[in-house]
Amino acid sequence: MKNRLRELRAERAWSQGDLGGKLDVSRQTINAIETEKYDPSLPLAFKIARLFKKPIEDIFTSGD
Amino acid sequence: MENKTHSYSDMCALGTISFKQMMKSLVWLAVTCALYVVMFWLVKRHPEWSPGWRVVATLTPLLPGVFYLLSLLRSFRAMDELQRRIQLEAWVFALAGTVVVTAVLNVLNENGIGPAAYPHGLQIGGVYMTMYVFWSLGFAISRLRYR
Repeated sequence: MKNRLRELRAERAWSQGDLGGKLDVSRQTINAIETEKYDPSLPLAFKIARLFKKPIEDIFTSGD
Repeated sequence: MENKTHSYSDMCALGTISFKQMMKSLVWLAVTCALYVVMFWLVKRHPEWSPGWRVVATLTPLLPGVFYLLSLLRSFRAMDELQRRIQLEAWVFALAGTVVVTAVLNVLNENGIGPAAYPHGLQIGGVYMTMYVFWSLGFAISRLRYR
């Protein structure tokens, strides 16, 4: 799955640690999602979408 | 890698638990092991004890053992989803690895070509050690995968 997490985070000048803190996950989890090594669970994906005030499909897209 | 912050994120290294939680678990494990040794020694030294007392004394280490398990569970629940996945993969690796080693030793022994050091396969201590080795390997592999 592809995502725009790094781009959205950079727009807000947040560090991975800042974003992790806002989402209650570790900085390493944010890094793994951004590098697309790990796909977040649906609840975490919704949390991310809520935080960035965007629909999920604007942030996460199929890798096909 | 980005700059670190002093948040929840800092507390959790990849796939690991916080130092405080780890210490709590280790203390309970140490109490369990110490009590096991003491009770083993006491039961052996007092053959005159009734069977009931011997059973009670032998099972006493189970009590701190339960607290050890609970503290492990608490640590697991405190992890985020990626850390849980890393732990899950490490435990699956440990379980599968231990089953394979145990089965191979068993087959070798059945055919009379087992290693001299393990004439009856792995004893309980050997199982713990094998699990620990495979867990460490699985943890390292899984950690690298999501780094």
